[in-house]
Amino acid sequence: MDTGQTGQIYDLIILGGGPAGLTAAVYAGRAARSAVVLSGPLPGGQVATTQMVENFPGFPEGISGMELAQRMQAQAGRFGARIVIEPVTGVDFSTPPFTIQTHTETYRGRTVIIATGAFPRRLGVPGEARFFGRGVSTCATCDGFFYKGRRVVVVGGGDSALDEGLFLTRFAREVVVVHRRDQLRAAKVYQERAFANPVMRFVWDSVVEEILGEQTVSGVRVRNVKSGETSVIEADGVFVYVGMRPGTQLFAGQVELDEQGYVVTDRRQRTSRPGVFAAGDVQSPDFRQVVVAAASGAMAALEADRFLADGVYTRWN
Amino acid sequence: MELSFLSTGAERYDVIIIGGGPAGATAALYTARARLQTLVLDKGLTAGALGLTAQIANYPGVPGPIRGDELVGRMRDQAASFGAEFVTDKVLRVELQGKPKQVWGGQGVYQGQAVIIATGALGRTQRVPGEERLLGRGVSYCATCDGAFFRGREVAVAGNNDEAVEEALTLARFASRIHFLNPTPDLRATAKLAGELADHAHVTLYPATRIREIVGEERVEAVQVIPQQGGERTIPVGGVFIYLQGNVPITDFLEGQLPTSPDGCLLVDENLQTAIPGVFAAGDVLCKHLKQTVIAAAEGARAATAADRYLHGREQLRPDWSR
Repeated sequence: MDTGQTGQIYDLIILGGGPAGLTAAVYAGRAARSAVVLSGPLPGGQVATTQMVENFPGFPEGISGMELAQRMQAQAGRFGARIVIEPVTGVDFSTPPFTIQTHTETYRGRTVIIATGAFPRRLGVPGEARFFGRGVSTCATCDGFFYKGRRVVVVGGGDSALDEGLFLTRFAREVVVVHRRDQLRAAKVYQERAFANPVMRFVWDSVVEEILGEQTVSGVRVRNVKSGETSVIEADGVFVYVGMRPGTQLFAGQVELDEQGYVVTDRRQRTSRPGVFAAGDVQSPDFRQVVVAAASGAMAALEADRFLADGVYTRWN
Repeated sequence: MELSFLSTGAERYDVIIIGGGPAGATAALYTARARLQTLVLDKGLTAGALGLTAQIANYPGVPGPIRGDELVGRMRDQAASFGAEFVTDKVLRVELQGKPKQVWGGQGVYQGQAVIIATGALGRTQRVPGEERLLGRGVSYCATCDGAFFRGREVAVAGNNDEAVEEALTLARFASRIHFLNPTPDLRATAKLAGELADHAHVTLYPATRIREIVGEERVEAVQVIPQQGGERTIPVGGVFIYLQGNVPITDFLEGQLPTSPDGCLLVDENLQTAIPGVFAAGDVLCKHLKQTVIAAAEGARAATAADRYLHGREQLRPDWSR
C-alpha cells in the first residue's frame, strides 16, 4: 500500500475534530479501518467552547463541552485513530485515492468524511472587523470574563443568542439583546429564563448598523426596522449570534454544495462524489446538536466501511 | 371514537413518548427541557435492545465499556431531571387521529397533544402454536389487565426481561403458582427484579425452556414445554402470559393506524413525522439499516424538536442559517 512518496493510504481520512469527526473515528476503529482525523486549531470543535452541555444524552449532571470533547478524543484514540492538528490547505477528490494537503504533509485516503463544521456568521457592518477579538465576539464562554461589571450587546434572537446572553449575565451588569423582529425564535426554556433575568433587556425590531468606538468598543448604532429611527446603545462589548457559515471553502467544485455552501448529502451521508461522505453541521445546519452531529458521524463511518467492503473503489481503479 | 368515555379522568400531557430506550429517553430529555409536559410509557429498563446489551463501548463521550441498562438509566435520569415523567406500563391501544391523542395502557388512559413512537424492534414474528386461537381465553399479554381472573390458579409466564419478571410478580399476587418459562439459560432482567423473582415462594423457574404448544379446547388447559436438556413435559395451567421478544419493529398496538413498510417498520417523512400530524417516530421502529444507540438517540432529539414545532405552530419556522 506504500505510495512511494508519503507512505500510508488510510481507509478513512476524517476532516474535522468535532463530535461528528471524532464519532466517525470511533466507528472506523471499531470496524478495524485505519483512520486519521485532521483537526482544526480547536480540537473538539465548537462544543469545546460550550460551558455546559445539558442535553447530550447519557450525562444526567451535564458535562462541560471541553470535557465531552476530550472524552470523545480519548475514545477515538483508544480505537486506534490518529488525531493530528493540521489545517487543511487543499483537497483533491477527483480520483482515488483522494488527497488532502496540509502545510507539511499530503494525506491519501480511500474514503473521506467531511466534518468541518459550521461557524458563526458575522454582521458585516462598519466597525465589526476592526473590533473583532477586541470587543466583538461570537463566544461568550471565551470572552465573557472580560466584561465584568460592563454592559454588553447581544445580537440575535435564537437559542444561541439567549443561551450565551444568559451566560454573560454572570459577568455583565447589563445584557442588551438586539433582535430584528418583535419576538424570539429561541426555545421556551431560554425565553423564560431570559425574561426572568433582571440583567437582560430587549431592544426589538432593530438591527445593528455600526459598531462604534475609538480604541475600544463604545457602543452600537441600531436602526428600528419599523420606524426607521436610529439610536445609540452604549456598550463595552458586542456578541454576535446571527447564524452560521459552513466550513466548505476548500470543497467547492469537489462535492456538491447548496446555496448556503453546506455539503449536500443523502440520508446515508453520501456526497455527490462516491467515496466522500459528510457529517455534522457542515451538511445539516438545522439542528446543531452534539448528539445529532455524533450520530451522523457514526453513520458516515459505517457507510464508508461498507463502501470499502463493497470494493467499489477497486473497480474504479 | 366509541371509547371516548374512557377519557374522563385521563392524564393529559403535551407529549406522550411510547418507549424509553435511547430514542425515547432522548426525545423526553429534549421535550422536557423545552418545558413540555412529558410522559414516557415503557415496559422496563431491559425491555429494549440497549437495555439487554451487556457492554457498549462505541457510544460517543462514554469511553466505557458500560452496561446497556446503565446507559439507558443515565439517559432516563437526565430526562427526569428536567421534569419528564416515566411510567412503567404496557401500551395496548392508541387512538391517534383525535385531539388529544389517546393511549390506553394496562394501568390507565393517557392523553397527549403529540405522540412519539419509540418502541424499538424487538417485536415477534412468530406466534406459539395455540397462542392466537386461545388469545383472550387464557392467553394474555397483560398481567395488570387480566391477573385477577387467575386468583388461586396456576399460570405460565414466558419471557426473560424486566417486563416478563414484573408481570410475573404482579401475577404472583393472584395466582397460586407461577411457572416462569425462560427461553434462555439466564434472566435478562435487572438484578433486583431477578432476585425478587427467584426468592418468590409462588414462583417456579424453568431456565432454557421453550413453549411447544398451548393446549386447550375452549380455554387454556395446559402448556407443553421443551427444556433445552430434553424431557418434554406438560404443565397444567389456566393462563399463559407471553412476553417473548423477536426482531421486528413493535407496531402491533397501532392496529394499522399508521402505514408501515413491507418489513413492518414505520414510515416517516424527513421530520420523522408519521402519516398522522403530531405523531412522530424515532429509533429502531423506523426503517433503517444501522441500529446504533447514538443514531437512535439523535432521532429522538429530532423527533422531539419536530414535536415542539408542531405544538407551537412552528412547523414552517427554520433557523436563520438554513433560510
